[in-house]
This record gives sequence, C-alpha cells and structure tokens, in this order.
Amino acid sequence: MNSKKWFYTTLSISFLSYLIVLIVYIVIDPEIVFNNSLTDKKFGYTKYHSKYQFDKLKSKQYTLIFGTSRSQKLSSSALKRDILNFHDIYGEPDDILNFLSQLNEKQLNNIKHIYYLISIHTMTDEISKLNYKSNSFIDKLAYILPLSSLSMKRTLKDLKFNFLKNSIYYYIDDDGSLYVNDQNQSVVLNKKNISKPAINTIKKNNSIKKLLQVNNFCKKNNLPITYYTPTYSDKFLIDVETVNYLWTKLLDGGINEFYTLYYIDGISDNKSNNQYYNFTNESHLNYTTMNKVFQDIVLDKDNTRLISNKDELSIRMNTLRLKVKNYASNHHF
Amino acid sequence: MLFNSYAFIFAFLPITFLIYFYLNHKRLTEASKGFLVFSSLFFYSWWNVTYLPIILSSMLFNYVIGNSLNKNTEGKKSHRFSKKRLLMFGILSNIALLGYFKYTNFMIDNLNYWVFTKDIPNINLALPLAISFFTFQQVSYLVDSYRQETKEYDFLNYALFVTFFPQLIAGPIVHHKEMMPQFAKARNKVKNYKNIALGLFIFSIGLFKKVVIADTFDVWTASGFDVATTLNFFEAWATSLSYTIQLYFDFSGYTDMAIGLALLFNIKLPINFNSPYQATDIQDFWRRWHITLSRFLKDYIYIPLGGNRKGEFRTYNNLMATFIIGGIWHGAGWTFVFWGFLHGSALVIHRAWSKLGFQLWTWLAWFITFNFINISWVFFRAKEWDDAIKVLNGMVGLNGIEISNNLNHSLDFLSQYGVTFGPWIAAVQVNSKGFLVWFLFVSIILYLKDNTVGYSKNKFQTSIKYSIITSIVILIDVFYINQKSTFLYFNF
Repeated sequence: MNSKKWFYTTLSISFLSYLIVLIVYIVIDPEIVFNNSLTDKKFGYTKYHSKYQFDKLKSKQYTLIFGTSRSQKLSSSALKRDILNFHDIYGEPDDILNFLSQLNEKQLNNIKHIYYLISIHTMTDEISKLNYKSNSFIDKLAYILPLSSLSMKRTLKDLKFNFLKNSIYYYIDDDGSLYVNDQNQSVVLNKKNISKPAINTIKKNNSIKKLLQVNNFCKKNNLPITYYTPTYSDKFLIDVETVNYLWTKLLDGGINEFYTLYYIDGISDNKSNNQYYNFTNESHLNYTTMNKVFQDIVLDKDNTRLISNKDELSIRMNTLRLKVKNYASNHHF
Repeated sequence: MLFNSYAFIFAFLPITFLIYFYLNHKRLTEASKGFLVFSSLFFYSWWNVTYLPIILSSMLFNYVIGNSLNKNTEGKKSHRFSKKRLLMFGILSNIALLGYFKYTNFMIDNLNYWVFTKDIPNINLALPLAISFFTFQQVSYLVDSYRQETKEYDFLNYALFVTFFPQLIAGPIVHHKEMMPQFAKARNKVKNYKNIALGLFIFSIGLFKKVVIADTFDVWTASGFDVATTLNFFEAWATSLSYTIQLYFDFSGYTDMAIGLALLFNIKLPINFNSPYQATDIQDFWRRWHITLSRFLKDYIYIPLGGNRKGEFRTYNNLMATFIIGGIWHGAGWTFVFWGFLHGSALVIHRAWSKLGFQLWTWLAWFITFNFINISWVFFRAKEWDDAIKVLNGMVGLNGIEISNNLNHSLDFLSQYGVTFGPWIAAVQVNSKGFLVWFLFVSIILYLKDNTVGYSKNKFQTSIKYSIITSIVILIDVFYINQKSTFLYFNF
C-alpha cells in the first residue's frame, strides 16, 4: 500500500485496538469501578486471595486478623483459636470494607472477633482507588483513563483468576495463613532495605475516613472489633506528633479504644550492637514475640496499654516523646 | 515537555505538525520556520521558562560572533589574527556559560575540600536543560564559521538550527551543514508520507525502548545503586547490567524518537547509535556509541590538539585529554572524570596493543570490551564513590555469593565454600524470574544484526504486516507512557 494509506491505516488500527482494550477493561472491570464485570472479581485485582478466606467463612467460625503483613501473621496454634490472617490485604480499609460488605449473614455470624492492627500506613497511604467525581459513566471513564500497563496487568490477573482458577495453587494452612504456591509471591521482606515509612502524604488522604467506615460497619452488624498498634524498635520510633495526630483522629472519629503496643520496654530496646533480639528488622517483630505480645496485651486485655480517651492518649504520648528523646540523645541526633 | 508524555504525543506534536505544513502549504515559508522555532522554544520552556533567556542570549551571542567570523577576510593577516581572537572569545564565553552553570558548585566543593578550611557555601544554581548540547553545537558552529565552512544565515534559520525540538534537548549533536540545507529545500516543505510512515515507525520503536525497556531496568538500577546498602555477587551484577541496559535503551530510545520526529518534518538527523554493545574493541565502541558526540570530540578537541600527527606519545596524551574532557562534559563530578580517564586509558592500551600487531579471538575481544564498558558505567552512574565501590565490591564477590533458595537442595555442598542461599537478587527488589526473562529478551535485541534506524531503512515497508506491528508497539507504548520518567541524558 502507499505510504499515506499505510499511515492512516496504522493510526486507525492503533485507535481501534485501544478502543477494544478499553471495552475489555470496562467489561472485566478489575478495579471495581463500574460494578458490572463479566468476571467474578469480588475482591478486585490484587486481592483475589481473599476469595479463599471468603469461602472459609461459609463453614466455620473464625477470628479475623486485619492489618498484619506477611511477616507478622498470627498463629492459630499459638493463640489457641481459629484464625484467618488477612495479610494479603494488609490493613487497607478500602479492601477490608469491600471484603466485609460482601459477606452474607451466615458468614458474618461466623466472625467470632476482628482484630485490626492499625499502622501508620493504614492511616496515611494513598490507597483509595475509587476517587472519581460522581457515579456517572463519563466521570468513571475519565477516572480510569488513560489506561496504563498496570490496568492491563490487573485485567489479565482478573481474567486469570476468574477463568483459570487452578492456574495458581493457593491454600490456607492450619495457622490461618494463606500461601501461594508461587515463590515470587512469597518473597519475605528484604531486611537490607527497610526504610522509615513515608509520612509526607498525611492529612491529605481519606484513609482514616475509610477506617472509620469499617468501624461503623462492624457496629452496625454487631461484629466485635479490637484495634491495636504495631510494635516498633526504638530505632524506628519516628515522628511522634504524626502518631499523636492520627490516634487523636481515631478517637474523634468514633473508635472508642485501642491498644498501643507502639513501644514496649524490654522488647523495643532489647538489643546489642544494634541487633534487636525480638525483631526481624526495626519495624517487624519476630514470629514468637508477635504472638506473645498479642496474647499478653490484646487477648489478655492489658488495660495499662488501652487508650480510651484523650487524657490517656496524652500520657501515652508523653512517654513516647521521652523514649524518642532518650534514643536521640543516646545516638547523638 | 517529554517525548514520552501524553501532552507531547497527543497535543504538541500533532498541532505543531499540522500548523507547520499548513503554513508551508500557504507558501508562508518564513512564518512556518518562525512557528517551528516558537514551538521548539515552547517545548523547551515547558520544563522551566526561566531557562528561556539563557538559550536565547546564547543563540544571539553565537549568531553575532559566527556571522563576524564568517565574513570573508582572506589575505588580511592582521584581520585573521583578530578573527582568531574573536573565535577564542566566542569559545571561552560558551565554556564560561557552561562552566558557570554546570561546574561552579563542583569547583566550590573541591576548593572547600582541598584548599580552604572554611566552607564556601554552594550557589543555588539549577542546570539549564540541554545546555551541554546546545553549547557544543554552537561551539562547532563558531569553529566552522572561522574555517569559512558556514554560509551567512539569518537569525531565524540559525535559531531553527539550534532549537529544532527533536534534537534540542539531548542531541544528536548536529552540524549546521547537515541541517540548514535540509530546512532550505523546497521539497521538504510539503508533507512526505514516506517520511511520515518511517518516522512514525522509528518513533514508536524509540518510545518502546524508553518506556518499556529502559524504565523497567531503571527500578532495578536504582534499587542496587541508591537503596541497597550492600550487594552480593549476583545482586551487584544484576545492578550493573541493569544500568548498562537502561542507559543504552534510554539514550538510543531518545535518539530514535528524535530521528523519527525529525523525519515527520522531512529532516534527516544523523545516526547516533550503531549496536554499540556488539563492539569488539574500545575504538569500535566509540564509533558506535553516541556517534555525534564522538565526532564532535574528534573534530573539535582531538584533532586541534594534534590528533595522531605529532608522534605516538603525543597521540596518547591527546586521546587521554579528549576523553577526560568528554567525561567531565557528562557531569560535574570526579566519578565522571574517572570514567573519562578509564576510557582514555582503554583507548591508549588498545592503540598500543594494535601497534604491536596482537589480535584476540572475536568472542574474547567482545567479552573483554563489553565487561570493561559495563564496569566503567558503574562510575558513570554512581552518585558517590562509595556507591561505585559498593557495586564493584559485590561484583568481585567480596560481599559473598547468595544463590536462590530453589537450588538449596542440589547445591547444598557449596555452603562449605561460603556460598549462602536466600531470595535471589533481593536487594535489587526484583523477582528473579522476571529479571532473567527481561535480561534474555533484551540480550536478543542487543545482538540483533540491525539497529533501529538501519532496520527501518533496509527492511521497513508500508505493508499491512508493518502496520500491525507498529500499531501493537504504539498500543504498548501508550500503556506505559504514564510511568513518567525523564531521560538520563537530560542530566548531562
């Protein structure tokens, strides 16, 4: 064909291909924007593991653990109760709400208790994906455009999961942890590269709002929920004022109480030559300590660590400020 | 404005293209040139409009000096002397401008370190975009004017030569004699669909190189160089190879895009890369890598220094000086100087070796050349000496060798020799299978017989097959564009 025809043909094919991909994306709807997907997609593009926990709740009562990472899972045998760890969705309030709101009555009744670990990431990370202006199709379209390579990967994952369910082997072990028989997805946290969490995005997101929605959902459905914070090493104690701001927001928003495990004497500072004995790294407790701390403080209801009003918060914050100050003076900051 | 941005591809480019040819169609030739200069300056100012006066004054200054140098004063000895002084003034002014913006803080840092005990504060200077490129381009114009190799052009033509947006930011570094006749040709003022088709094909391939390949390796490069505190053997090699691959695909991708874009306007830019990683010696490498910079260094530094005409020892000195200047042109830092020194040394060794008549097997020559280049890029990329040492330590195994957990059972006996098992290349924050697949894919591309431009000129046809291939590439490009990243050579 001549060059002119070739040029216009190529542009036309490109445009049509993009249009086809866009239609496929809308039909599959991996990010749950349009709510009319041809595929199952109950749990979105990255959280498809949740389907396995979803199915488990159909038959038996479980204690649900939200907010823990893969290296911080709790153990059914150590805590002597049937646990489902939701380390695949971490503490993202959006995804948790999405999961809970899809449970039927029987499944809701099978939730014995919810424990929700609320880290700084839970409250600050910009995770809200459904940020379109209104529910009109045009606004939703404007929200998803331009499609990215990530959108494509999500679409393919959705298709793979919903149509080729056995392509990856998942199972939940006796300790309530979900495993994927794919080593690339079971990579543990890289100890060398742990950095302090980014907190610059704070105050301009709606994660706390979403977190409070989870709380309201639980209240409405009579689901017992207990909040607790992670434990950090003294080296990792960062901006205490940020923590204060976030925790105050929780109390103001209607979360009546939570356990602060942020700094624990004898654990957070249990170190020699900068090696922390109870941690896998500065911000993650090791398996044994994690279960023990959870049992001793959260399950056994250690009231000295319970914050239920601003006075208690203020006392706790002063203690933390002192810890940070001590650490800084000992390390010449 | 980045070539790999929606604003450029879907707004700036089509608007500029349509208006430029519309004005030409209406026989408003000067207006079309003026419009192209205006668009190019708009394109340049998109990053930071404060740079605009710098490039405008630089152009005006060099245009005036160039025109004065170009005046025919044959036979007047006293005039020729003053012309030489004028040339020196012009060159030194350009170097002073470049030096002020690019090297002031480097000088201050060194004075602080080596001479003074008190700290002189750094000056708050942002490096104007493309200053290294447009300075070199204009220095070559001054020298050619002095040699009476330029014609008298009006300022509009000169401005177009300097600012033509496809090559403004990161080259190729062009000669006025390559560009001006093309802008003047009447048949280049009408749309040529053959060039448009070829330009689109080359642009889409260049964009693919940048947004799909280079940006993918960028993540691994950054993890290894900037984040990880130590790297074991495989991590260090993954890091250095990632950068070697990233740099090539980033820069050659940019050049392909520039060549493709210029073709849309019927302008042919010189080739800048010719499969450089296939080079079998260092001289061969510099004939294939950043060809227009090599040409500049040869014509305007190496040969004026005496080239190879003044004996073997002087030749070695000239080679070394040329490459150290080339190194510091890339960036104000000792790592760049050292990189230039390494390449200068390699060229000296290669020249001496060739003089002695030694020869290596081709595959061994390639292996040595490639590894030398790969190692030298470590200094080119490292922000600090320590980063370079970190990577090199890992590459020679000083931080141990960690093999994938998967091989634990079969290779367990190696643990007695200090080999450990763990998540493979974890510090580079990459899944190992993914890295290997990408590495294999890219290796195949690197060792294809043809480079993009060569392939396009020899094989490309306006057939349905190439239409589909181009469409698929464009589609993939569009999906990857939103991962906004600048080009590595924008920093130089």
